[in-house]
Amino acid sequence: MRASSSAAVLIAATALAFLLSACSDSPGSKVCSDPLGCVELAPGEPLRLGVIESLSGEVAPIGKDQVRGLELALARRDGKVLDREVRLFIEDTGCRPEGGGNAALKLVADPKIAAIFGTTCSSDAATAAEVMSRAGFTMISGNNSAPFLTAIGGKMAPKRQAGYFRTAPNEESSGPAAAMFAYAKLGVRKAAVINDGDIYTRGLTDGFTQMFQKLGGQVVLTATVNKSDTNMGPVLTAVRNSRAELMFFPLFQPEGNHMLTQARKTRGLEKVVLMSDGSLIEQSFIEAVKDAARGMYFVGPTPPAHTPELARLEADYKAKYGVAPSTYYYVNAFDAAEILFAALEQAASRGKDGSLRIGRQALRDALARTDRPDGMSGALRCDEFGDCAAQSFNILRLGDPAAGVEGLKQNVQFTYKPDR
Amino acid sequence: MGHALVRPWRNLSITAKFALAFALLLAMVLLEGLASLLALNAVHTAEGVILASAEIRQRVFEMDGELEKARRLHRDFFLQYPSIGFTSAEELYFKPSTEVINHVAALSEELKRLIEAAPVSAALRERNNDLTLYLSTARRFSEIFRELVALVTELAAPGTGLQDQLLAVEGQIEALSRPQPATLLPFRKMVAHQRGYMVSRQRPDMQSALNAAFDLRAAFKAPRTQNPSGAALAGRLLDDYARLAQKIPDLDVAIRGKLNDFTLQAKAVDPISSNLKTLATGEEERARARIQTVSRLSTFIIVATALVGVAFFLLVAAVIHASVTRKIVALTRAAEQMRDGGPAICVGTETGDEVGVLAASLSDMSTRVHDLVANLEEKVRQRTSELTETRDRLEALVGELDEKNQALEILSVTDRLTGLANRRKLESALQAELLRARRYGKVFSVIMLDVDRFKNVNDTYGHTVGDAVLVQASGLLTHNARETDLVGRWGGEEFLVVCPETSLSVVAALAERYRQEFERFEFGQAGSVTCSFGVTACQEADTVQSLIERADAALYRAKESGRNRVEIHSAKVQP
Repeated sequence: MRASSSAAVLIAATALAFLLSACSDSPGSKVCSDPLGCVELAPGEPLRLGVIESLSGEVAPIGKDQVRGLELALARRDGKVLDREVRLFIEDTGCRPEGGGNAALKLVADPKIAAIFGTTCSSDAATAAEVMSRAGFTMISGNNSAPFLTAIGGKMAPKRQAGYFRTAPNEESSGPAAAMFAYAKLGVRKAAVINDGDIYTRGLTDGFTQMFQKLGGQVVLTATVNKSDTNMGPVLTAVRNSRAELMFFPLFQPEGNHMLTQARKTRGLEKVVLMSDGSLIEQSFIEAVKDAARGMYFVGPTPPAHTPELARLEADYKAKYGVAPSTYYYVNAFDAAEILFAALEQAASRGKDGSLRIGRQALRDALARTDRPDGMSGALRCDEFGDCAAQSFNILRLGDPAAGVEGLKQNVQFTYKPDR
Repeated sequence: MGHALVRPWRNLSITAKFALAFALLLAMVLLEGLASLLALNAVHTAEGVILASAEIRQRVFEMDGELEKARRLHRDFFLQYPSIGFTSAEELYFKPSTEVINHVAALSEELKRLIEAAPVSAALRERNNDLTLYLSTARRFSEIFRELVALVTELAAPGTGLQDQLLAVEGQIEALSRPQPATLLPFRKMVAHQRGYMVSRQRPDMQSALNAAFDLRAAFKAPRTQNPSGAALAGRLLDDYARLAQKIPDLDVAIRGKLNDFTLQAKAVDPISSNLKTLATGEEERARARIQTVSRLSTFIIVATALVGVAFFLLVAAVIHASVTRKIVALTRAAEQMRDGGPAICVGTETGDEVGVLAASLSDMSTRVHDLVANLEEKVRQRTSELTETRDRLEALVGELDEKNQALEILSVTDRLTGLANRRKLESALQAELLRARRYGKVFSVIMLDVDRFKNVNDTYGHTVGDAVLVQASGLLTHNARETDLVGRWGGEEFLVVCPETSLSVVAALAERYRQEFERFEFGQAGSVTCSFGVTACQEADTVQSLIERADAALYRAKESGRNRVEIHSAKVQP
């Protein structure tokens, strides 16, 4: 008798707890119980998403591709998520840290914004993620790859912010891949590394340096150029002075362009191997520097497998924008948008009146639970640091500038896939 | 439509009509009151909006002013610290700036609350997000300023800053380089590039300085300038120099980033305050415009309702006048007409209200009264005619009656056979004379006569002859009597003559004359007929009976004495 009444009490208590937990975050209950707060949407109110990308300057094409990846994902849902029309609030960062911080500041001022899609440049992401994380938001990028943003060597990176996720691979292994290729395949023993001071390029040169030195090589010069620098002569002189056999300069346009063209004109550097990274694997770069890029190496993420789905996405891209995509980062952006939408759907609860409540922590948790083997760019499984894509890097060589970026992408010299 | 309204209206009772009219008037008054109330409310609301907008604008100005002040302090900090030193600049500019930013944050929080509570438009309320941004940007300004100060301190703090450290190292290197032209030249090149960098802040300049430092290092290592201890020291110094020279541009980039951050902040924030000011001003203008519109509208409504009210009042008055007053007046006039006996009246009975019912009743009454009056006159005429006839008949009857009465009267005092006074008349006359005699002391006398042997006449000649004798005897008596004497038949063949104011002697003589006349008169078939006479005069204490008895006694004696004679009875003479 006692046992049965205890069981009844236990069942009732469990049911009540279940009901409470089920109701606590539904829009019907007055108070949002999510520790980070909730996004409350009235019936029919559009779902707001913030977008922070680099939409001006040389990086603009990459930034635009990010927005396009998002738009393509949205288009497949008829512009709706959770049956709500999605409204995008787009901010430009100019690929500068301060731009990221201020753009995020603008977006987090609007409590109706459910999440932020971005950024393009990792340096912007660091500042933006700091702001958005502090405000309890969630941000996901299809382009950021600086290790500083998530994890380095399996440990949390200094700039890691809660609520930050990305579907672009952590380029923690990009620099090492380049170093391994330089040391093992090219037989280089002395290398010069040049970054532009931001965390992305610095992360790459640091990764290169560590691996190169680990392999027994010597980094004879570590130099920095400023964004918007045009005179690369002094630093190239330093490279010559350093007697480096390889110059690793993971820079963006236009600094990368200046570096390459001026290097080609600098005496004493004729035999120096030039290597850059994914940010220059761009048709616009090849067109700008033309023959100067011949023989140049690039380290970049392994492109997604050519599946029918990807072909369809690419066709959609061309149909929608009238041009072919310049990089594959729009695929990462598409994946980022897809898993964000899925997480929003998981984190949202609908009220009887048609209102919608999205818990901010619930959204972060839902994103962290992402495990999709069928991502457009490959398997997507988010780890505790926010990295959702597997790392795999190719070393490419530009044999014929006339073959363009597609020719470059096909010319894979080396592939490096570290274990996760 | 009009008809559809008129009919029910006519059928309404007066109470309902008045109730409806006054209800509608009341509704007009209420409508006017409501319009005024709404207008007043709208004005109050607009006033609230104006006050709130003015306050919001004031706060925005204040907030903006404060932020501007913070920026000024920030500028002054960078302008002044080289001359007054970091500590003073921090005290004078950085700390106040932090306080000012805190004030800005407080103001923007207050502004947020103000906007949330104020009766302002949704557009202004939606600026709440902007205010959040303003607030977070102000805080960011403070953070970035702090970071910037830290960077600048690291870069340029006197004595400890990287720049001063670089100069110090540079001084030491100079000391080592100066003795040898081979080292002095690259040293000067290095310094020139470094100075160039200090002006241009372009990294390639610093890179050039580093390249010169590379050359300098090589020069120190050259066999010509071989100075092992000096070269080692120069190498260490050049390492320090390279470390500092690489770090300085990094700091400069970071500082530029922070400064750019300020620019972006300003870009984000300035439109907010400007927008808020514009919105608040617009709000105020709209509120003023709303007041004007409401005033105009309410004036129009009040005037319109007043005019409609007056018109309606007049209409109601006219309708009431038409429906009630005019009919009452008509009824009054009709009643007066009725009173004055005018012709039958007909008051409009087209309405179903009380007046209508009253008018209909009055008309019916009037008709009936008129009919009654008309019948009455006819009846009066008839009755009058009947009465006249009756009167005439009555008069005739009365005349007849009078005649008959007269005749009756005559008959009652007249003997039917002879036409002489009958015994009742005689007794009445005797009574009257006795009274007169008693009152005036006048003497009167009486003659009683009886036809002698009248039984014989009747027996001989029959009663007809007998009656003729009596009629002739009456004529004889009447003919010979004086004007004042009363001749009457006392009974049978007895006659009595009453002679007023006649003494016994005169009456004896008069009796004698009658006797003689009888004696001489020829009574037709009966021939000669005589009469015996007894006379007497009245005496004191006489009664009719006593007088007659005495006359009768005298007559008896005359009979006894042989008839055809006159006997006198007097007190003195006893027969």
